[in-house]
Amino acid sequence: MIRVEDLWRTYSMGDHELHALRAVNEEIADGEHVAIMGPSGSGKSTLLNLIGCLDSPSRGRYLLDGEDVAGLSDEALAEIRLRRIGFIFQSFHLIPRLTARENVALPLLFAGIAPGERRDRASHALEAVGLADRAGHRPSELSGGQKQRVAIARATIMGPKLLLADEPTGNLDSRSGAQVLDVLAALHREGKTLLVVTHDPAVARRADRVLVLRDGEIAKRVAGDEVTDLNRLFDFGRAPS
Amino acid sequence: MIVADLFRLAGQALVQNRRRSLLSLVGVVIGVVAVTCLTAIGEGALRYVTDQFASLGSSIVIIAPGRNETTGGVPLGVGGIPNDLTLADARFLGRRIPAVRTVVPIAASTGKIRHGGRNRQVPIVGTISAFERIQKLELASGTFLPEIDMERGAAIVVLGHTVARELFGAEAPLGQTVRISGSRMRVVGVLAERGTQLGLQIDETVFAPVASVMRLANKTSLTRLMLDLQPRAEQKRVIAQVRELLTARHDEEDFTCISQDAVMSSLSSILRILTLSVAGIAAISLAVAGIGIMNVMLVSVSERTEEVGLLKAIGANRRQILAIFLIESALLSVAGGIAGLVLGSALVAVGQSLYPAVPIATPAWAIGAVLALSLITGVGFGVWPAWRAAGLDPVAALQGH
Repeated sequence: MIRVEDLWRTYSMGDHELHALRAVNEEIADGEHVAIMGPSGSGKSTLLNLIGCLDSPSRGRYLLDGEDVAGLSDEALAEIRLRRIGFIFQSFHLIPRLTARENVALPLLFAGIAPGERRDRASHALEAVGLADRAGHRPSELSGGQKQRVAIARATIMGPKLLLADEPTGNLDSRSGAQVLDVLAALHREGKTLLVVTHDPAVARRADRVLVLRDGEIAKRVAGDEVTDLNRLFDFGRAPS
Repeated sequence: MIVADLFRLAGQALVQNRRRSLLSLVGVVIGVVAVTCLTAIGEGALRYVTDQFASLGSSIVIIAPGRNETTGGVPLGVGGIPNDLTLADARFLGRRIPAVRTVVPIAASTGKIRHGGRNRQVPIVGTISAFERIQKLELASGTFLPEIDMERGAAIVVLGHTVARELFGAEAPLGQTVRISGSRMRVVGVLAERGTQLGLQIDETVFAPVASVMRLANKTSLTRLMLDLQPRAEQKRVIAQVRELLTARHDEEDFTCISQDAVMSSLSSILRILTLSVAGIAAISLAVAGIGIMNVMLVSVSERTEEVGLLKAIGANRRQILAIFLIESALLSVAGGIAGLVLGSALVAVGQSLYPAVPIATPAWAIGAVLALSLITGVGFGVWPAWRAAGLDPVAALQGH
């Protein structure tokens, strides 16, 4: 379970301060599928990075499964990212000189798992995303959709409960985007908590809930199937629901 | 994290940037080749000198006339004119010091040797028959000087190889007569070819009984006394005895007494210091190579900022990232070290075949030192780039900043 209380993230920009997040309160239950939307610069990625323990809040509390993450050491945060969180990025972030299988196996390497077991588990994870026949290929030999599925296999290899995706279909055509979303949906059905930052209403519609951010605050909370078009969603003329 | 995996990751990264990796290797290779070759030459000189001394047999104590302090010269007006070192001194020391097997007097001079129409200016060494043994001389024909009393002269000579060839050509010199500074002398032996030995051109020297040479050259003092010691005799004790006895006999210490061991060890230590300092200068080029490695690693870290961000996002901690980059720079420098050793050894082998007389060879300590030094260079100059990588903020790094 994720719980953030009065969460602030402030950057100092010379003489003034920029509040990327201000006083965010939210709770996300295990197994939920939540989309985060909002115009550019509204703080979506900042929130995702804080939840992913890549960044530390300037103020407020972040409880991950009841544990306050704010005071943890670098080392402990790395350990959380390794075992409890899986990241999926818009630009895939695969290492070009490694094969698909080696990319998937990277987290296992940092966890100190022996090469034989790494190979088996990575092959397995690739099979689960339908890329068993691509295990020996390098990223440059894969299509965008295939790259993102390799990245998903890497994000899930350590068996984390929480998956964080930042615009996972942003660089994909609609067909391979849909394939990637199907893989994510399947993972959600298996019980993973799924947090997706997106601009795409079609992606958000698949979520249970949608958080809409504006200027670092949660401006709206809507159900996934209420998302129709962005103009209406980002029309903040009305009071937040 | 398993160490073998770190090496594989590092290796893959280096292979991907082949050209850059190779270029940064060149610096290390040059440094290591320089150290390897220069220490090989130094070691060669050392072995050459040691071999020369070994061929003499080392249990010899040498006495020279004149007080030769560390400054090297005889200070005028301080020590006065030294007493002669005489054949009587030689007899006296031989009698009084039991550890001395033989006292070999040496009177060195030069003179004109003539046979038929040919003549030549040569060094003339007056000595006794034991000289043959202590210098390990070999004869091509005839015998060396006979065993006669050192005070007795005899009109006989033994010719060095070159002298014999130049005076007699194809003729057999044995039994022939030569003239040295006007005196007729009979050739009783010819030495085998020997080559230069510690500055003494034995091939070009003429040997005659010591008393005859002193008379011919009108000398009252010997040039040297060589004390050939009993096996296992203590050189230091003998030197102390010589000092005491001869100082009492001459009323002052007007001679210099050294052991061959001492000469050799001071010569060796000079050569060793020379080798070390030259190697040290060569090692500076390794430090320059280290800066090259640092530069390459800094470029590599900034090029792979996103990669570092990713590694952090998927759970790598600071230590692991530090290790990845440190091992990369260590691999670079050690690979350079090994390549340099191979190339350096090849050059040393070429040198050996070109100049077989000087036994050049890279000493084992230099091989170890140069490998350790290149490892230290790689790790040392890799620390800063690796530290920068490990300290990157993951969010910014993922965006490539």
